[in-house]
Order: sequence, then structure tokens, then C-alpha cells
Amino acid sequence: MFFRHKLILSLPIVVCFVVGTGLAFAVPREYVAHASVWADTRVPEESTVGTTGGQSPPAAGQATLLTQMLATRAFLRSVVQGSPLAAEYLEMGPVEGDRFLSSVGLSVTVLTPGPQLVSISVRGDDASDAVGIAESLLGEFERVQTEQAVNRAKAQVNFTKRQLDAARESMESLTRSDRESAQALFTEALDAYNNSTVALAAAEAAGVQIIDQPDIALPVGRRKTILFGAAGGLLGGATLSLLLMLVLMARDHSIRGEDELAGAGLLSVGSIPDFGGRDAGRAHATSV
Amino acid sequence: MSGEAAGADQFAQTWVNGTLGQRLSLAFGPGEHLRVPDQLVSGCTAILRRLRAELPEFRSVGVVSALPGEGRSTLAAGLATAWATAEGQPTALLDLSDSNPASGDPTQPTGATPGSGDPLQQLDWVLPGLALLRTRSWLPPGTTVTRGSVSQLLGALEARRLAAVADLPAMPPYGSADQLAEAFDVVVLVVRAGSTPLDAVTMAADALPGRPAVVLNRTRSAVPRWLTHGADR
Repeated sequence: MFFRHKLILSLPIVVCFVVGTGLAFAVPREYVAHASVWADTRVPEESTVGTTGGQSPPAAGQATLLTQMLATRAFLRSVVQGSPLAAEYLEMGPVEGDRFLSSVGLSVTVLTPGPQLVSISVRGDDASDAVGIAESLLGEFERVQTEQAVNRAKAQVNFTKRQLDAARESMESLTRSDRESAQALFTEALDAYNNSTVALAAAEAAGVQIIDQPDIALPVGRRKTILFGAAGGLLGGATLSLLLMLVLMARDHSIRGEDELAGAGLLSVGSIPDFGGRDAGRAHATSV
Repeated sequence: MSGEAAGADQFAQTWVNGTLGQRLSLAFGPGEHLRVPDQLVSGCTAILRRLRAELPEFRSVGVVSALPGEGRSTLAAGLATAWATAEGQPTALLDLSDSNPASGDPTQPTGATPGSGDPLQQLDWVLPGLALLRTRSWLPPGTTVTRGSVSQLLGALEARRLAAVADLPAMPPYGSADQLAEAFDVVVLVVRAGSTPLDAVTMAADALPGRPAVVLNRTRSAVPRWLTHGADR
């Protein structure tokens, strides 16, 4: 069947291959900006440098935090508004803008090559856009996670301060006999307060440190895309050819042999042998 | 060059220049000769033997097909050549495939006077024992080939002890082979293997007089079907 319809069956493969490869070439070139962030436990806890990071490596915690943030519109909006795409985003409607934020979120890849290292990659159609988004992302991440820690520590300080004040007032109104037992509670509250102020100081210090700034975006290699396009084209064309062949076979009611003629009640008296395509009408002149 | 070879070349050239050859030569380009290969001649010799086993005495064979482009001309040329050369029976190869001579043909056979009326005068002896006769050379301009005129022609050839192999048109709706076929002793229906639907063949066989002998053409055509289709229309 294939050799009979070789042109019609080969054509889909060739066309799909060419179209697939062409489309792969037509895909706009992408750029990726990389950044590396150093993460360690906050003081006064022991550093994890030189260890595997224990049960909860700092890099994993930071990567999870960033991934969570990338899932929020508020964070993405802040990132975009601090990037070169801010003007473009502000012109968009709510639905279009939301889609845009999602696409920005999806363009970010977060990896943890080691217990203290977070690798962040941002893809973009334009090199400056990719760099701009990556810079904005890092700044926003640093700001948000510090802000979260500080707010939490401040809340802790306020709480322990209130406890301490309450303990101090109680002590003043107590009789001598009760003072001794209350002193212990006051000391405990004072310790808690002191600890929370230390925690606040630690929170105010940066929890992450940027090692590699995303100051350059490199073009993404297209070999894989082209290979996929070409392979997809070949596969699609082959599938199309196969389907076409099945259709042709299903619709083919042509006679192929003398037995079929006899089967149909026709008198078969022989056949002209195949004497070869284009040379069908040729032979050496002495043959006649 | 031997006399036979020169005659063969002349046959090929004349064949190409005719209506039938002109159509076939489309595949080979202008100026190239249509030739009859050994395999075709040997295949046709076997077909003639088989026909003779079915009908011992026959003097005329009409080659028809259900559809255009089945290989009528190839088979007719092969049968005539085989009959004339392998079996030594003087044979006339008739090109009756063009049923409308008035349509005009820019190439006329060498030495032929169109419409002179006597077909035997128009026989073009291209090989010893093999003559070629085209429709245009014995019918007056504007006259179509009818069963009566074909019967007359066959009678005249019979009187000269010439066998006849005719390349007839395709079956309706492409041609009027069903009418002309009645004039022949044997009708051969040529079928292209792997191409012609069985329904078309049985329908054509039913429309023909008697029981046609069927020949399977396994040769791949160098002439696209759409081209021969157009030529027959």
C-alpha cells in the first residue's frame, strides 16, 4: 500500500516535519536571568554552614517561602510593579492582568542546589525584562520575608512586655510573703522579654544574602525545542500517514490478482508483466 | 542497421506520431519513440495462446477498458506485434480509440491520405507482417467511427487475410467501446492491477457483448490517469 501511494503517504511526514521544525524555529527566543541566594539560620541559633542543614535546611525553608509567595497575587503584583513591566501591567484590565501575573509566576524557577543555597531563574521574552523581574523578585522577597520576621518578633516583644508590666504591677501590690514567689514569675517574664528583643534584633538582620545578582540574562538554547518540533512533526506526520493508509486500505476495492477476476466470474486470459515504470513503452528496437 | 531494425524504428516513429502514440508519448516527451518491449510481446503471445484455447478461430481482437488509462494501447500494440512477429500472422493494428476524427490531429501519418475511403490503401506497413491503420486515415473528415464502418473495415481486412487488433475507446461514459466491440470476434477487457475497482470491471463486462476476456495489466503507467482521462473525454 505504501509503495502504491508513496507520494500521498510520504507527503504528510515531510510536510509535518517541515512545519514542526519551522514552528520550533519561529518560537520567540527566551532569555533567562539567574540569581543565587545564601540562606542560613538566624542568630542566635547555630549556623548550619558546613553541615547538611539538619531536618530543615535553611535553603529549603527559603525556597518554600518564595514558592508560597509566588502563589499570591499580592506578591506577584509587587514584583511586577517594581519591574520594567510595570507600565504594561497597569494598562491591562483585571482579567488580563491576572493572567499576566500568573505567567510571571510561572516564569520563575526556584531550586535548592545545597542546604544553604537557593537558585532562582526567571525566563522572559526579552533579556532586560528577565533581569528586571529577577531583580524586583529578589528585592521583594528579601523585603517581605524580613518584614514578616520583624512583625512577628515585634508582636512577641509587645506580648512579653505586657506580661512583664503586669508582673511588675502585681509585685508592688503584694505583701512581703507573696513577693518571694512572685519574684520568680517576674524574673521569668523578664527573661522572656529579653529573649524576644534579641529575636527582634535577629529578625531585623537580613535572613538571606544575595550572592549572585541577576544582572545579565542569557538566551535559552533552542536545540531542544527544535529537536522536539522536528520529532513531533515526524511523529505527527507518520501518524497522519498511517491513518491515511488505513483509510486508503479500507476504501481500496481494486483488483490485484487474476484469482480475484476468476472469483468475480470473469474470464482471465493472462496479464501484462510489469516492465518498469517510465520505461514501460520502451524496448530495444529489434524486439519488434 | 538491419532491415528489421529499421522497420521497427519506423514502426515506433509512426506509432508515436499517430493519435494513440501521441497520447502515450506524453509520458516520454516529444521526439521519443514508443517501443514495444520483449516482455510485452512474450506476455501477449501467451495471451493469444490462451485466447485460442477459448476460441480456436478468431481473426479480430478489440481491446477495451472500463476506465481510461488502463493500458489499452499498450496491450493492443503488444497483441498486434506478437501476432505478427511471434506467430507470423499478418496483422493490422487499428487505432480506433479516437472516436471523433473531426476533432483534428496536427500530426498525420506519413504517406497517408485522410478520408480517401479505401482503408486498405491507407495501411502503413511498419514491419513485415504488421500494418498500422489510424481512424483519421480512412474516414472522411467529420465522420465518427460506427459499428457498421468497423465491420466493413474488418471485412476488408479479412478479405486480405489480415488479422486485426483494435485499440478501442474506453467504456461509457468515457467512450463508446460497447458499440464498437460488437464487431470483433474477441473482446479483451484490460484492467490495471491495483487500481481499477472490481465494480467498474464487472459493470463493463456486463455491458459488453458476450463474455469478454480480461487481461490484468501489471505495468505501472507513466501517463497520469487524469491526463489519459482528459484525452479520452
